[in-house]
Amino acid sequence: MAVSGFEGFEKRLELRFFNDNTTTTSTTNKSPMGLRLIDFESLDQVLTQVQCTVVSAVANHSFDAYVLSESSLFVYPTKIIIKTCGTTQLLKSIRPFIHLARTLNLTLRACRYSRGSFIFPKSQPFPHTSFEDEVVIVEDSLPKSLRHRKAFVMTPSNNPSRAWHVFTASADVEPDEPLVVVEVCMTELDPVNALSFFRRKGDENNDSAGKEMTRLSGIDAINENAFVCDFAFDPCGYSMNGVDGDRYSTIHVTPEDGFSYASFECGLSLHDDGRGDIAEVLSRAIDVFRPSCVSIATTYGGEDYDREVTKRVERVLAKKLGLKCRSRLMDEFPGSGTVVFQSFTPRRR
Amino acid sequence: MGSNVSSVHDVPSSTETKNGLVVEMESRRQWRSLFDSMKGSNKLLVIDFTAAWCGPCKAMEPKVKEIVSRYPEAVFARVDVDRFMDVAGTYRANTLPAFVFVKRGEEIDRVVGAKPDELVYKIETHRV
Repeated sequence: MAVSGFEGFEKRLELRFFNDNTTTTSTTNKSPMGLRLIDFESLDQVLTQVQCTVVSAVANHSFDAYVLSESSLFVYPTKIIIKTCGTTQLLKSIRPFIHLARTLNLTLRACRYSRGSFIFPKSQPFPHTSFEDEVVIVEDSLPKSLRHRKAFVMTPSNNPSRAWHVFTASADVEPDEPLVVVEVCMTELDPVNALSFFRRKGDENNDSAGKEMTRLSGIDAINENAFVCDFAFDPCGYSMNGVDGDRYSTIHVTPEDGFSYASFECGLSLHDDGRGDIAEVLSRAIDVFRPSCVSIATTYGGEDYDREVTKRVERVLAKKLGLKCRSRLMDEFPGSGTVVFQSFTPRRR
Repeated sequence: MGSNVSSVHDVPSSTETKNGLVVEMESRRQWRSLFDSMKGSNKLLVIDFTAAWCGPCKAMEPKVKEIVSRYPEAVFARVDVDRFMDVAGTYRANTLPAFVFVKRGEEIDRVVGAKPDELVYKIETHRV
């Protein structure tokens, strides 16, 4: 493990707003635009405060997806998801986003902040020096109407240094999110697989290089229905946002040996006829990287926890990738429902 | 969607295009006229598909303006996918922005997403 290097582990922030149709309906689109009405200059200003910029973007009828210099931003009519890595100041976006939403008459309903454990915790700026400090800052930025709050660190007994940190605040205890969110964090990537994510001589620009990486690595096969908006960084690194109807997915790769990292996240339904079941999707995504260490955090939202799904994911990862589940933790969070945190390492090292 | 009613101020069939600028399609007649007039030449037509709900399209707009001004020999036509649903359907423009490259009436390439470098690269490749 290197002494210092780029921090791949992301900080993730999700803000959900109450649906208010009165002033935000667009006449051309069938459904209200909500947060998508925020003009790009305002979004860009928020991103500047967070210390990142847009490098690529796409949109469809359901949402806008931006690839950032340090991860991703998704804007739905009543939901914002922003995920940033490195030493970015993600929490500085909370107040500006709430303010911009208020100008569109949208009221905050719930907030969720989550992250894994940093590879280089000492390199993080305040308040990311400790989870306690982060929670204080997040709480301070939220209105009192989000009455139900919980902060918890899910710590596996076999590997306490790879924990999952969650803070949720919600106006209602009951979750309002119909999609299940799966966040996969992978470290110690197979060095041969990681090579795909270094730029080569002769590739034309960051976009075409990104497209090649998507193809060569097999990322395009994870969900063949999805449009992939990709980007290759200099001299290495890769990001993509996947867009499939109202479903998003996102992958970020730090390929350097010594601190290699890759993340895969998607929103999906457990009853997704024909879209590929969760275990298959996860298995395909993890297979791209063949990591020695994987953690999966699943947030059920409004969906009832289904133990069979958790067991099936463990069975498929064991069978197809030789990954053994070493820990499984479960907890309930107001507004977010059940969160399950599993960690895996190869069966034989 | 799109107007079928002819107006006194209709553009003549040899469509006037503004070199170095993106022409916003205002009517089906204007679109058809432009498309047909380009079939006979080897000039590059780039269709810029956008929508009111597309944040990334708005993010890309200033860059597109700057890029387009550098290639006056190509024709850039902006098509709103909600106003021209059939044109959007023909070119499967669901994920935006989408820049579709057309020569002699046939699609030869496309760039999907706010990707200015890729757009420039492909214009350079196809302009001849």
